[in-house]
Amino acid sequence: MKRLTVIVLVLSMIVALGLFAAACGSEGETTTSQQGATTTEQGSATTTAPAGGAKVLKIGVTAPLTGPSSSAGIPHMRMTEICADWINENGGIDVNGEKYTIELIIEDEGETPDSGVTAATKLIEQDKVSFIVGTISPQIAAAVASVSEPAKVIRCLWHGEGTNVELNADLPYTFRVSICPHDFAMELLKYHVEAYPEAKNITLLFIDNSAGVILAEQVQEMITSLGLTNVETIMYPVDTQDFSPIISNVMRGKPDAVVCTALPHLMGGILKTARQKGYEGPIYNLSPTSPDTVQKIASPDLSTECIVPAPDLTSPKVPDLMKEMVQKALDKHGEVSWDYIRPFNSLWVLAQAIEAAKTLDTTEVAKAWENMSFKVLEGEGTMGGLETYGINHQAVIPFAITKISGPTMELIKWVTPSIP
Amino acid sequence: MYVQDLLNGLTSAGIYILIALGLTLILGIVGIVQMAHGEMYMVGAYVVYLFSMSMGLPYFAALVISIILVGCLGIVVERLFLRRFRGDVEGAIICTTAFILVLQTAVKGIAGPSYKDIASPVEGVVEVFGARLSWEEIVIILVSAVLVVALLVSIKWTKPGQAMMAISEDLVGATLQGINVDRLSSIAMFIGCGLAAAAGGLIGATFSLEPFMGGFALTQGITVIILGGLGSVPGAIIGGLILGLIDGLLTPQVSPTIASIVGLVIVILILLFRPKGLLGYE
Repeated sequence: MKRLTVIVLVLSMIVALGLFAAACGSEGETTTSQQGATTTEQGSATTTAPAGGAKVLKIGVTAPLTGPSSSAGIPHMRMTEICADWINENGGIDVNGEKYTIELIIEDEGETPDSGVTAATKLIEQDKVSFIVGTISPQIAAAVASVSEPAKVIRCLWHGEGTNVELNADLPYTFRVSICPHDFAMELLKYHVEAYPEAKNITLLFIDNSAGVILAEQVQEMITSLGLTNVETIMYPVDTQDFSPIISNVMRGKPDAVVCTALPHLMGGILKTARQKGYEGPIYNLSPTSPDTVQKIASPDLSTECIVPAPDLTSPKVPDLMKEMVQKALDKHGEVSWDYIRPFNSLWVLAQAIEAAKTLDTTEVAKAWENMSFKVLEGEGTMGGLETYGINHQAVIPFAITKISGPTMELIKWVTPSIP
Repeated sequence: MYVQDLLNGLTSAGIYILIALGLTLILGIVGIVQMAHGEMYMVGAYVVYLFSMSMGLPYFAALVISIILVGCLGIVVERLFLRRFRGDVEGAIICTTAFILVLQTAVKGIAGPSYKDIASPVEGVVEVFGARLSWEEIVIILVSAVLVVALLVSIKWTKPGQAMMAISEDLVGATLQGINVDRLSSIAMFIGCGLAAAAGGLIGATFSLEPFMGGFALTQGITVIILGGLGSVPGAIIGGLILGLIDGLLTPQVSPTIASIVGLVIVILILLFRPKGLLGYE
């Protein structure tokens, strides 16, 4: 009888999980994306295709596929796959007249520098890749440099926090094709001065980590330079689930506006709680959170006066190519947000750099990349960062300022930040 | 403003108490530190999401189903795995830590990595003495209070409840009295995991869901039971209230970081000067 009870309980759990899967929509993961069957030369990053076909270029992808960062890592990985497919469908990478199709080799970089280094080492030593895209954590990005730079492997970081640990003059093979929070900050603050000229008192509400502390100091200077006042700076733990006490703290300072750094679910929690507690001023996020995700979590009724540096993907101001990629992501995975779309550029710009260099030699690719203009989903970009990071390896590309106003949202404008 | 802070603190306390009651019951009766307790909280939130958002059931019906299903999951885990580790602290920690990974990976694989949200069962805000309290927070306070009272009554007035207290205070003595420890361990796991699911379902309607949300619950739960006393039900209630009120009252005055530090300093002081906790047993 007891055994029967256990069996019944186990079966009921399995049924419940099955129902869960059916209702939530199963999202199977892939770990490699292969384009075109080929024969592989041992110890080479390129492979020879059958007669008449294109050669294959292996490109490594390091993404957090397990652990908390996988909420961003998996969508990033999926969009990189879509980018590879799109490049291949359009003839692949043209290297001085020779066509290469991309084969992605995807490794889980986990949550720690150690696991990131292990993933990159495997790609470099075993798979012999010369190009890697990926990485979300700045700590992992810094650690992986210890293996990628000596091997002269070009890395294109998905994004970062804008510290000199991620990009600097000692990292000649590391590039980044995304905008960091402090680059968003100045443009968002300029927008604030235009849109809310009377709202001069700003409270900063930042995630409590080392990058957050550095960013807070930078943004405080920007606030002062624009004639605004920093009422106070509040740092909050990244694992916060109940924002009520924190919003009480914010409201005690009576700020006219709040500037946050927050992941999408945190931004939703901040916005929802602030409106429930009666705060009515504009709330900015310096992290490029999908406006639709923020609106969904905060609920449309409470999503008022929230400004984020990411596009409303349904806006008519979204470029056609971005719309096409949104549709591809929807067709392939059934859901899409800015978290899916934004890593697309990393692989695409890497491909453009290889084409500009007309060689797979990574030193030549790095040289060509430093000085080139390129296309991105948002429009066109150039390279910058010499003054900021000591090396011209930071892409300067447009970003959208989107305002969420209850059930509606408006892509106000595209702006290109200055990253000297 | 202090009324607002007090009400914020009570909301936090409601969640902390539900988490800690489950953890302390499992520790006291099953005799293990349930490291995957936060994941039961997370699974509870996802089950509410499944039944309310995907299947369209009313929120409160989904919450009850979640409590029952996650409670049953607790029984299965106890019967198949944890029973073997009674008295084996290291083994139990390793086993339940493995469950953290299993449950996180399973939920991420099934529900996907993106954030989920549960629609509020009751929308709107109520003003109380100048403080603004959302209906979601009122639901948290009320449901927590009902569950805590139900648990206290069942412990005080039912035979299994009395037997559980006997096991919690003296396992050998309780066994010699003919109390069926195995059966009560299953009941304790059902109640403990069900309470965690209730906390997850309540917080899920207020904020958002993601497969890694359980770490916060475990940290807070352990802090509360150390504060209140390992294995003590009244201790978990007192500890949860103290920690919730520290969050509610100190965070607005100083900062979230200092409020967390104050909570941890109190725990360290308790460990130094009263290791059994405020209401713990010798």
